[in-house]
Amino acid sequence: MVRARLNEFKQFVEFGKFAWSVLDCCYGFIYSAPNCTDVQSELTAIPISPVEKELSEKEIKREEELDFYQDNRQYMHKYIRKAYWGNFLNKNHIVAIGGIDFVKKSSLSLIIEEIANDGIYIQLARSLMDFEKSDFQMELKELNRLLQAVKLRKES
Amino acid sequence: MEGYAGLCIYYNYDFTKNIHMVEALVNKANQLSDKYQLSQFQCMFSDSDRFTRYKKVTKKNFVELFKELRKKTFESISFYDSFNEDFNISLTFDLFPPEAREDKGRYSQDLYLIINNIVVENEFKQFAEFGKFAWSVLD
Repeated sequence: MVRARLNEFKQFVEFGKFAWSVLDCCYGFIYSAPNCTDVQSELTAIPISPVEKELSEKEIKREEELDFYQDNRQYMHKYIRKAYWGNFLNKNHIVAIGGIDFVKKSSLSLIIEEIANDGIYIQLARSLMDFEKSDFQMELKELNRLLQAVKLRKES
Repeated sequence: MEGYAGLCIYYNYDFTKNIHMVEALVNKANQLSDKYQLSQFQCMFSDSDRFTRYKKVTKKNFVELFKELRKKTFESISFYDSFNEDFNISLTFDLFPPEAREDKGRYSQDLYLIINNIVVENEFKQFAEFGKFAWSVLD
């Protein structure tokens, strides 16, 4: 816990930038959740919990959502899944949302950094440790609206 | 506050030209296993439409499994960490061959390598190790 508070997930951000500089990256994100399974599912865009168990309506909905992303992974160079605390975007994404200035004009407090290969890293300025707080979720929704133009939708 | 955070990066990779990288990956994973006394690597492999079937593999047949899957596309790398005192490092490599997806279902031949539950005294060291590890096996 101390480690997380001290470092504020700097490792994730740094590793993402590192990957972006050495790989032909198209998209990335940093996600948080109260439990491990949620995080793993989100990272792999596949529900990894065994399907044999009886799923709740909420879980089924989540699986369907992840199924959709999974089926459309090939479009990640053009689209994103949704806004996260940390977002690694490529130049196609930036152009589609109206340029980086469009993001900078937002009233949200954001960290915006240029990264390798014309990419942009956009992060909520607040701590990831606040992820369960309602105002954190509100900011995330606002960022989601800001990135709306590049979100992969079912009608796409 | 307890919880988990993860990073996922999608990238383009031609797996067919880089089998040596996978072998290097396995070697490094084995080194990590020895160093941190992991009892086994857990590999979940699904070749059905849904995640109804898993095969767990150990180090011994790991290279062979990768070789079997060498014609696939290597698409993402991710890892996560817990907010609490337990330390977890997870490497997830997904292989999604389009032709297999069309022929056998959407989740055909997805491969997950998960190294779990590494508990060590110096937590920061793990990230340094992981960074070096990634540097050494990725282009």
